[in-house]
Amino acid sequence: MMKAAGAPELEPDLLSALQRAADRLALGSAYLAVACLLALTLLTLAEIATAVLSRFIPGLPGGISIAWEYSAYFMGAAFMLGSALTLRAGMQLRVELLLRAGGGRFERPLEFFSSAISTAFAGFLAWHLSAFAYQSFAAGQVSVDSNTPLWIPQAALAFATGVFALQLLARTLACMASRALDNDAFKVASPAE
Amino acid sequence: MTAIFTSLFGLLFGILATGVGIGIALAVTAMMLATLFSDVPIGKLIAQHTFNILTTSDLVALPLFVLMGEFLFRTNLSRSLFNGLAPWAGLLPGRLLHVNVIGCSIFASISGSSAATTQVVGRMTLTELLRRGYGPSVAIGSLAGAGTLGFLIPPSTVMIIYAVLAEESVLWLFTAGWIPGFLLAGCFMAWIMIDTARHPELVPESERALKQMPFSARLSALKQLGPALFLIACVIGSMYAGVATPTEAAALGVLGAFLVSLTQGALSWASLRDVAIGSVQTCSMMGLIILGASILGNITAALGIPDAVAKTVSAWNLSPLMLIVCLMLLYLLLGTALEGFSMIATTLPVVLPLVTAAGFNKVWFGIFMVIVVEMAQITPPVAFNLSVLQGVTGKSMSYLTKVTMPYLFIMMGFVILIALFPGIVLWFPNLILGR
Repeated sequence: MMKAAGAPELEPDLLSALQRAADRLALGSAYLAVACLLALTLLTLAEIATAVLSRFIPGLPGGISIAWEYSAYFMGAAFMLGSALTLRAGMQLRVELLLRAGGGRFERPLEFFSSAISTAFAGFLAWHLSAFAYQSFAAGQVSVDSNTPLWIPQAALAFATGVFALQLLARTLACMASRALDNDAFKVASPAE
Repeated sequence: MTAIFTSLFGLLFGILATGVGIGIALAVTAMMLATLFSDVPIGKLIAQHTFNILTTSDLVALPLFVLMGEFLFRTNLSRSLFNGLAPWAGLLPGRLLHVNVIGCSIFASISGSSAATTQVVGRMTLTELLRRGYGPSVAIGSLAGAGTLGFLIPPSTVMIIYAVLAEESVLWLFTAGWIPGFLLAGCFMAWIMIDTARHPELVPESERALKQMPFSARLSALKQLGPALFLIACVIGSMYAGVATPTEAAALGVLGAFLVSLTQGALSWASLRDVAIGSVQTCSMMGLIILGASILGNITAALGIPDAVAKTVSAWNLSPLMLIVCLMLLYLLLGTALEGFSMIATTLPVVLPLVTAAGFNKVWFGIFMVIVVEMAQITPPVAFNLSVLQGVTGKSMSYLTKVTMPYLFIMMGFVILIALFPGIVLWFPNLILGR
């Protein structure tokens, strides 16, 4: 279930406000990711339909020229847009051997350390993706296949990585304040592997 | 080079051990290595690379198969597979136990995941087999073994990830999976027959009656396989009829799975939302791992690590077979602590150049990786398929490990077999795709 009803109660203070904001952004981004998945599915299906119909209807193009390129942009955006919610749902894959060792005695310090590293990484990546998108924008770079301004898909990645970084920051702070880290209420995926 | 090596393994295992997500751990290791041993502008490089890898066209099949899987998970396919296959499996010694293997093989031909195959097929077969009085050890063990076919029989998410990381063709990998997949299924069925012949008490006496069923009833049961065959036609049929690329086949699969769940009345607004958000979560989980693995692959290649590893190992003068046996043992060990995707992501940057230097074909090695990943799914403590079975049966991990052991040994033997006869893997794709 997606509603935050099952979420752990938080006191109304700054940290809780940050966590709530990060969660709302994460959920909103996840729905944007859903829109991206839907778009790439429909685009691919439309491409197949056009290719098939063009055999019978003369004059119809043999496919949608932008289908490949755009579905790849949608995929990239979907990957990053969903990562904040995936993290919050406790679904990122990681080695838990040490976290569980010693009856969970090392869990908090390790969680803090790993969240801090991850925050630094996501922040760094978000920053450089933004710079990258800005340079594409300033240089007016377009894609080879369709003359699409490249800053658009790049900015989408930068934004999504920023949302991810914010969720990681909230997690790092929650570690310091000994709050709950994962919110199982957000977990809905079936077994992936 | 020794310093680079030590840093690579030290950083990688150190960061992984603290519980950093696998994808981020790989990327951070790569960035630290690049900062320590080169003077590349790492921020720029990583931004460019992130954009390139996350918008790789070949990868688009992955989110589509994930989406298809989420729909399949909510259909009644397990019931219809059981009802369609049971009358035929009843003819074989071992009776309905074979439904586990055949059901998993069929479900594997429409699903890209192994744990999902175990769960969807097991949902119906386990309840039914245990109710009829089959021995739990063989009922559960054969399901755990056969569930791993989800990865080997195409479509397969692991194969897509491997193909993108190894820069191989997805279609070639898919095509190379068929013969090994069905052969392995055959081995599992043979083992069921041997096991039940040695221990007749595993199959209840009353099940002999299954042989008496009239042929017409048997034929009409096949109708139950309709939805599954329809989905196979969408995905596999379209791909080999030459009308669809793997990506397009996956999109048709999504459409087909949507229609099947719609006609089965399995869809509500709530379940649609779960399908959507669930797919996004699985995709993101995989996306980060792919990103991290490809960043690490790029950096290690730039630092010359793969060449150095290849030189070192070739100095050991291992025969190709010994090399594969060593790798299999290494992966068995890794498979206890890592699940499949992470295992590929963490090792491929170093291992792939090594095996190609030893003369192995990348498609062949992809199939090898898929089988060792399947083994990782059933070797505890980290074993996705066993965790799924734990959820379904409530048995302990050690019990599940014990009953799955024979199937693990069969898979190990099978790896040796394809190493001795690489043609098992390569003959079929060479035949129909020609290279």
